[in-house]
This record gives sequence, C-alpha cells and structure tokens, in this order.
Amino acid sequence: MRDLRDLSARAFLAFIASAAITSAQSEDIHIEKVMLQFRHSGRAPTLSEAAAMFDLKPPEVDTSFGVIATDPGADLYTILIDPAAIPRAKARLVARGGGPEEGVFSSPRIEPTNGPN
Amino acid sequence: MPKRQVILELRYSKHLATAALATSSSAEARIEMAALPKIAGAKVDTAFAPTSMPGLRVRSPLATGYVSGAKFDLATEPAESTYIVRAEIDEAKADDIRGLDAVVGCYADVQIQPCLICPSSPALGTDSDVEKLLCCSDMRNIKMDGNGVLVAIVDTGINIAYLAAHGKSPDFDPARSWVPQPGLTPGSLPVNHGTMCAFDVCIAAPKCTLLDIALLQSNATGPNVMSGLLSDAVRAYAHLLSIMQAPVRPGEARSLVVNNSWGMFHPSWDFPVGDPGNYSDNPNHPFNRIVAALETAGADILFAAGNCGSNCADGRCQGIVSNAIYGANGHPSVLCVAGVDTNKQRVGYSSQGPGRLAHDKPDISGYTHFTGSGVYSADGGTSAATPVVAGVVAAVRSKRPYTAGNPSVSPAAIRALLRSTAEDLGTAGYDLDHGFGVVNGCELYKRFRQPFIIDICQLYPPICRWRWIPIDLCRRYPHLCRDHLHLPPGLPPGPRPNRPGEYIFSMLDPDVVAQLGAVDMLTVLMALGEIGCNDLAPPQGILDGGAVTGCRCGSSS
Repeated sequence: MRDLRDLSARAFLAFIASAAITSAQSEDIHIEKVMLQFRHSGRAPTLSEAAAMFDLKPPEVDTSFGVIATDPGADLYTILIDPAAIPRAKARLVARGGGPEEGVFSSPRIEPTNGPN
Repeated sequence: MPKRQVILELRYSKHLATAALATSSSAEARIEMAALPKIAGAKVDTAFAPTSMPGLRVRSPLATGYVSGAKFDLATEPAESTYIVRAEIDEAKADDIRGLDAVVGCYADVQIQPCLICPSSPALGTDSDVEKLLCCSDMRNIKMDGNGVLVAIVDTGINIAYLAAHGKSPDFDPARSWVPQPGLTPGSLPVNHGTMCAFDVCIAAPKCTLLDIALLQSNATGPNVMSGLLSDAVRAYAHLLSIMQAPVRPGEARSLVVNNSWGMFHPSWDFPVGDPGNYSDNPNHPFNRIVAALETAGADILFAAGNCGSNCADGRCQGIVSNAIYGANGHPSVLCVAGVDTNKQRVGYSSQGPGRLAHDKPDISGYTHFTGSGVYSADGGTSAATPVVAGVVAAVRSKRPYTAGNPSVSPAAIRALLRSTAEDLGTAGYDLDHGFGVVNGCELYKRFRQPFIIDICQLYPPICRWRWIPIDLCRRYPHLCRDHLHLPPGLPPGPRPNRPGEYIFSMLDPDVVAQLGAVDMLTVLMALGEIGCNDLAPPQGILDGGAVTGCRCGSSS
C-alpha cells in the first residue's frame, strides 16, 4: 500500500483517479450464481434430490440449468445455486468430506476473442 | 572474428558517381568492383547498387556541421554527395575502416521487420490467400473437405443464409444444435461473431456439417452484448456430450470438432487463484472437468489462446499479458490456437504461453486478421485463427474419422498430427508465441493423398501374403493390427486362435502404408524376415513425393 503522505497534490489526484478506475472494474464482476459440483454414485440425482443433499431451498437452485453430469466417468454432477446458499452448501460439503473436485465453483463472465469490429 | 553487416558511406569519386548514376534507375543493377576504393577488411555486396546521398550546406555561417533541426540546403552536385554501399566487415576492423580517407562513415545495417498486426490494423490478405496457404484445393481433390464431420460453433449463433450469400454452403443440423433459451432459432441468429467463425471453418472444410451452439446468446448480464457465463458453457458442453454418447446411426461416423473462440479476459472475473472454486488454474472446475469428459468421448476441441498478447493486448485484458491463457483455453485436452497473419507473423495481440492448466500452450497457430466473412472489417483475433484450424481438423477427420477404442484416431492423435506437421515459426521447435508453428494443410495433404501405387506384390511377392505377427510389433505399431482390416475369408479379426500373442495384418492395407514411416516399415519387414539388409545393400524406402509406398534393400528407387 502506498503511503499517501509521500504523494504530491498532482500525484494524489492521479492516485484517487486510478483507485476509482479499479473500483469500477471490480464492479464489472457479475458472479450472480455459482456452480456446486458433487459426487453421486448410482443413477443421476434429480434436482430436488440434489437440493435436499445440500440443504437448499427450491428458489436457490437454478431449474433451467438442472443437474448436469460434468464428469460421468467420475460420477460428478453440477447444479447452479444462488450465492446466498453457499454457506449451507459448504457446510454439507465439509460434512461429506469429499476431494477438491467437490465444492462451490465460479461462473465467470466469458466473451468472444474477437478482433476489430 | 565476428562479422557484421554495415552501411558504408563513401566520399565522392568519379567512378563511384558514375556507377551510382548508371544504376539509379534499376533495382537489379550491380556495382562494379573497379568503381570502389580499396577497403581492407570489408566485403562489399555487389548486388546492392551504390546510392548517392546529397551533401548538406548549412545556412548559418556559425554552424560547424550538421545539427538535427538546423536549416540547411541540399547540395546535389555529385562531388558534394556521398555514396552508400552495403558490406560485411570484421567487427574489430570497424575503426580502421572509419579511418580511411575514402570512408565518411561506417554504420550498423540492422535487421528490420514489418510492424506487428494490432487490433486496429487493417486486414492483411483475404480468405482466398488463407485457402492457398492451406492447400485447400489439393485437400478437396482427395476429399479432405469436412464431409461427414460435425463442427460445433460454440459462439453467438450462426446465420446459414448469410453464409450461403457469401459462398459457403456447408450442411447444417438444426436438430443437434442448441440454444440457451427458448425463442432462438439455430442457424437463423443475427449475423455476428459466430457467423464469422462458421465462415472461417468452411475455408478448409466446406462440406462439414455445422452445429449451432449459441452459447453467447444467453441472457447473462455483462458489459458486452455477447457476454455470457461459464455455467452456460457447462450446459452447452453437456449437450455436446450427449451427442457423443448417443447411439451411432447406421453409416454415421461420429466425428465432432468443437470450435471455441471465446474465453475469460481478466483474473478479476474469476475467484482468486488458490481459492478452491477458482476456474482459471483449477482442473477440478466443472467446466474443465466436462471439457476433459467431452474429449475422452472423442471430440476434437479447439480453443482460442486469447487476445492478451504483450505487444498490443485487447483492452479487456486490463494490462495483464502474462499467464493470460486461462482455464480451458489452455486445457491439456484441447488444441490451443494462437494467431498469425497471412505473412506468417504472429499478430501482436495473440496471447502467449505458458497456459495456466498446461505449460506448453498455445499448441499451434492459425491464420487471422484477413478479409473474409465480411461480418467485420477483418476476420480477426484468435477468434478467427481458431476456426481456420478447426476447419483443417475437420478436413483431416474426413480421412480419419473418430472410432472409439482406436488410439490412432483419438483426439490426442489428431492433435499430435497437427502439431507434428505444423510449419515451425519463431525460434526453432516449440515456442510460447506460436506453439509448434502455423497449421500446415499442405503437409497434411501430402500425408493423406493416395500414394502412387507400385505393384509391391509383383516386386516382392512374399510381402503380400497374410501372416501372423508377434504382439510386440502390434504394440509398437498398433495400426498394423487393427481388427477392421480387410481380412481374408475364413480368418477372424483379432488375436490368432490359441495363439493370443499373435495378430493378423497385411502390409498392403493402404492405411498401414500411409501411416508407417520408411524406417518403421523397414523395421517391420526386417523383423518378419522379409528383407535382410547389410552395409553393401542398406535399407531404402520407396518414396513417392514423401509418401512411403514400400521398401527394399539396395539402391534407392
């Protein structure tokens, strides 16, 4: 962290401006929902079964996303949940004692790698 | 003693002035050695015509010589001019040369290069140029054209009518296409980035079957109308996985090429590195898992390296230009594509490796920043480079369709083929700017063209009989022992009955001949005792334009 006492008036203004830009950039983050990946053996769970496994209320689970087999060979499934449900989901994950493939994962923004337009 | 290329500035001499005057109108003129003063230690390039440099007369009487910015007049008389020639000198003799009466100066003749293409640069070349660079007409002649291959454009959606109006008429499969929300019609979406990608796939694979996977048509919020969320990509990939896992229709080859000209541009869009929920560096992230699953199911997956190259990165990179190949774009199971222009020079915005999930990314380069689809002023970005390469992969798949359980046609084998045939660019071998080099359709064409058939059976009858071979040869050359070879009547495919250590094969199967190199072919034949070579009659491959058509001992064919 820079010591503000070392800054001239002009440098101070520039510092404030750059901080504002950084703040604006961080506001671009739109992580509205997160993905919850978990292991489940046997037949694929229904959405309500998955919600019950992680103590989630129906509105906290994205029904259009559903339950997706993200790695069928490893019995891994994923659902999309509201950030508000993360603490409860994480508590259940800890109780299950799974590996690093089980957990709450980001759903970052993606964009085309387009050139000039 | 190190040599150095220099520019020599010489004083006026009658011979030199005459030579400069005589050669000034001809680019091909050569300098006569007799016109030059003797310069020990310098080897003058006689192909470089001497060029006169007008003298300078400074207007101010107080000025002592030429000073940048001072007003001066040009002295055009030959006697007041100096003369430029090009030479190679011993570096240690530069001062001696400068001390000669005939020499005004001795300057470094530095190597110069054209400027790198940047996002705002005009297009360089056209899709026709790309077609020629890839030898597409040769490929089409041998049916390397994408026929029978599904190509999924995972993007903003495609517009088939636009493609047709611009000369591209691939097949289209609406039933196996996918849109993220109701109300969108695959193949009839607004002309945008996805349509550009589809056009560029068709450069090398005009007969492929397109799937419209309109991932970036999701209603996700973001600063860009084409923004999406990675969870949408998980849904899209689940759809593609279902295609690969569906029962194969009679007569259908299950080859799927997946083009991804999109990615994440800045770490701030993601959970921090080290967080267990991070995407960019985490192979356990659901999207990275489903990418691996789709590749395991047999799909050839291509991702753009990204536009965060150090020379002129896209503004969305926010200045982060190192380690900027995030997540699946640098996944070990995908072909990661960098961009070069039609002069085979890396475009300045093409992201450089290493990748975050695998070090040696990008894998390969594709052509970009050319006038093509007409959707934009240029088909640019690594966005265009990727479908250009995807089209080549689809063309290869026309000749080598995916077959489950056959390692020689697995996605990994196809990636290895593209890497090994690429035209090396930049530093020798792999480098983090270009990968293994630019995709080389011409070399791939040579690999797949039908070899000129020499009647090997007539020349070497013992080679042409069916035989059982030891399993260690099968392990070393698995394509020798494939079960689907055309077996003679009465012989079952696979291991020899009661002798599981032996398999059947035929040297005459054209696939075997095409895939075995000359050395391997000789190894097999010698192991089977069909040929025996010695120092007087060394093994020779029978070659036809690079294709091995047989081998024998003795003089070359």
